[in-house]
Amino acid sequence: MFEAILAALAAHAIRFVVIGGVAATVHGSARFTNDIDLCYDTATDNIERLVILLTEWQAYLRGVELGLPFIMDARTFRTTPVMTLTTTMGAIDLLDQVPGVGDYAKAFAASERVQIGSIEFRALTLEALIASKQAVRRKKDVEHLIELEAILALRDGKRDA
Amino acid sequence: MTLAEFAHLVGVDRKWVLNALSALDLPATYSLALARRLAVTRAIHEATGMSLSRSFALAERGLRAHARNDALVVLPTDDDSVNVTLDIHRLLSSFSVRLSVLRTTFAPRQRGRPAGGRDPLQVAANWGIDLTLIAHNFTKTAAERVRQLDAMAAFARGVRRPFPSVR
Repeated sequence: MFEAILAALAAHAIRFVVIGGVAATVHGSARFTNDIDLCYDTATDNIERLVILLTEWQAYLRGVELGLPFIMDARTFRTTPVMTLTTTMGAIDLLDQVPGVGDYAKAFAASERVQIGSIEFRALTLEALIASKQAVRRKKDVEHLIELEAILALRDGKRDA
Repeated sequence: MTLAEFAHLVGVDRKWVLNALSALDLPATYSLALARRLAVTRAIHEATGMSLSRSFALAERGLRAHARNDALVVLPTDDDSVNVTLDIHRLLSSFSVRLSVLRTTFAPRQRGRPAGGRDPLQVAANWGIDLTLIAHNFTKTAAERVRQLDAMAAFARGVRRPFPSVR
């Protein structure tokens, strides 16, 4: 699912940075997530490609009744900073800003290259993930934050697990 | 629904909601229907500069027209001197997006730090996080970790029974 989503995004030349649970997994998190969170470049060409792909994947809003008004187009992307979608490929959350980090350009600057087979993508660094969780700080983020800070401590070799 | 959730649905901050409810002389009853109407009200108010109360009345007419399947609604103002065209379907599409976010990821910000001192590993252990799982993950490459997550997600999809009310 995640690999296929990332492969398709890369194949369509869509500019994005992986944030959230999948990025945490990249850094060693043992938490399970079944959605992928992406920060996307809001440039018109990028959004148009994203809309084409999401339409192909029959994207619809997650958690709401079928049949509610919903227009999947570039204008919707321009007016809604966050979209939580269900698609034929799985659940995808799209953000034009990463809380505590900033827009796509800042997220890109605070990301690192990850390679899975032939797929190459960018994922938020551990430090930036921590900053984003600190900024949002919902109940579930607090627990994520504790784990991410432990990963940082383990990675930096402050102590053995 | 809380005030914060209601404000998120309308697409405004809490203060705007409280001011609007006061200006419209409405009780602080945070319902989905009122949020929808206020979201349309705000769009009319901001685009035309019309008073909140007149925008609120036009919003009701627009929503009724949408219920009759009109995507684009032309509403004459009270004195018939101006027509307001509402792309009501698009306004409601934005509302649906906010409703989806509310039901999936929206939650209030927590205050303070979890107890456990300054040592992040001690805090994690106190919280019940299994640090050996993280240490084990360190023996894998990033690609292996993502593929493991993929496999878990596939397993979860396989065992999960369909839940008809949520797509």
